[in-house]
Amino acid sequence: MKHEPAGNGVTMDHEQDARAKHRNKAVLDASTRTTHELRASDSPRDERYRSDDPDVDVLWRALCEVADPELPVSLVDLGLIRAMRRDGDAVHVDVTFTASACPCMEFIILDIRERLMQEDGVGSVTVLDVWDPPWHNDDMTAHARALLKSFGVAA
Amino acid sequence: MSTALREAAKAGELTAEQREAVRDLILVLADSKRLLGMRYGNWMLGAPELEAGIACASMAQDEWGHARLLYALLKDFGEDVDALEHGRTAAEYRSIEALDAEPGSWPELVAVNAFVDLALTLQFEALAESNYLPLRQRVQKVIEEERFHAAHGAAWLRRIAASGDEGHEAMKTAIAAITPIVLRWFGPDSNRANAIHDASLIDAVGSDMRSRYVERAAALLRDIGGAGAFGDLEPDFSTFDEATRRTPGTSPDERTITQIRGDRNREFLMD
Repeated sequence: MKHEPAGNGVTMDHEQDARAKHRNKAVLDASTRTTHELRASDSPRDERYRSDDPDVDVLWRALCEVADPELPVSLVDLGLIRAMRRDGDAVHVDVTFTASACPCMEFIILDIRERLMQEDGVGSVTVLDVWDPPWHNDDMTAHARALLKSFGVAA
Repeated sequence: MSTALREAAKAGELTAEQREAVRDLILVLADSKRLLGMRYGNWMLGAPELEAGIACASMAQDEWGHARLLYALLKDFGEDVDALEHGRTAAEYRSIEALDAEPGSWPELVAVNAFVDLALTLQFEALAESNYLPLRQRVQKVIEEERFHAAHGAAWLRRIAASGDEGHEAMKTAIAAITPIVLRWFGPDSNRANAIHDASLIDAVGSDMRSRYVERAAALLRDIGGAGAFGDLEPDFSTFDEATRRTPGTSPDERTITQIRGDRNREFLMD
């Protein structure tokens, strides 16, 4: 299997570090930031980033509408979303980052949570950062490459 | 060699002896990465070229990213991660002694880039197949990002050596001070070291690490015509604390640790 299962219980404190969250509340508030508007229908499906389970596939489609904070490309097309699971109304997302010191980690995690919470039947979203295998250019979809090229970024 | 341990998804699955040794190693590496990030970061605006300053900014960012990945792991060992990151004094830091003082010149920073960063990366490479899964899952990313640091260090090493001026001498002096510290830093082939090696939590003990380091560092030294800078290949461990990999009573400078803790930034917290 390409991606090792997550869930070893070791992750950064995305949920628990209430103090850091509070501290950064103003800068992290998504509504105060400009993000690129994306439509899932504009993003061709990549076999790697979909699910045979329609209840999970709808989540992949939803994240096709969440843009990277720095680029007009969705998190799915960038290959940052490694896996998604549904357990009742709880959704678990494995996400990776292009760099270990990605300055946008918290933005990305908040954006994922905010978008998935809009889906029917989703009561909670847990985001786990995973690093194995490390993100690679090949993880991007052809659609992402074309967008980045038009944006003037070598991919 | 005793029977290899099966893969451990949590620190709680390790024996008390293994757990303590792995936890200490992670903290030593995290603190060293943090200090190294500061040392790089201080040259963002002082490097001889704009590109070199940007490279320092980028390497500093990487090192802090690696430190963050490692500190986060220590939660699995029951540690208070926030207290580790923001609550300790300089005397409590376990960073490698070669980073205790701010490099005073660009050639000295290049020596750190080439010879201290190399030591840390080799230690990560020895963890690439670790049976402690959460650590293994983070190591590959670190190693990949470090390739750029190694290339940067080697390129500047050669460039300064080719200049043949006083910068070359300053760099050689700095390297001669770094290498004995690094060789000792890898630690003795003790029961503690063997305990995690036998369980395949790491693939090397101190003497293996020294061999690997000498091999890789010798290639760099050949490039700059400065062989023979290594100290004793059997270091004196009489004042060496295996848990911290330091001589007790020594520490990085307090000013740098104050900056790392972010004491002044705390005045701006929105509590």
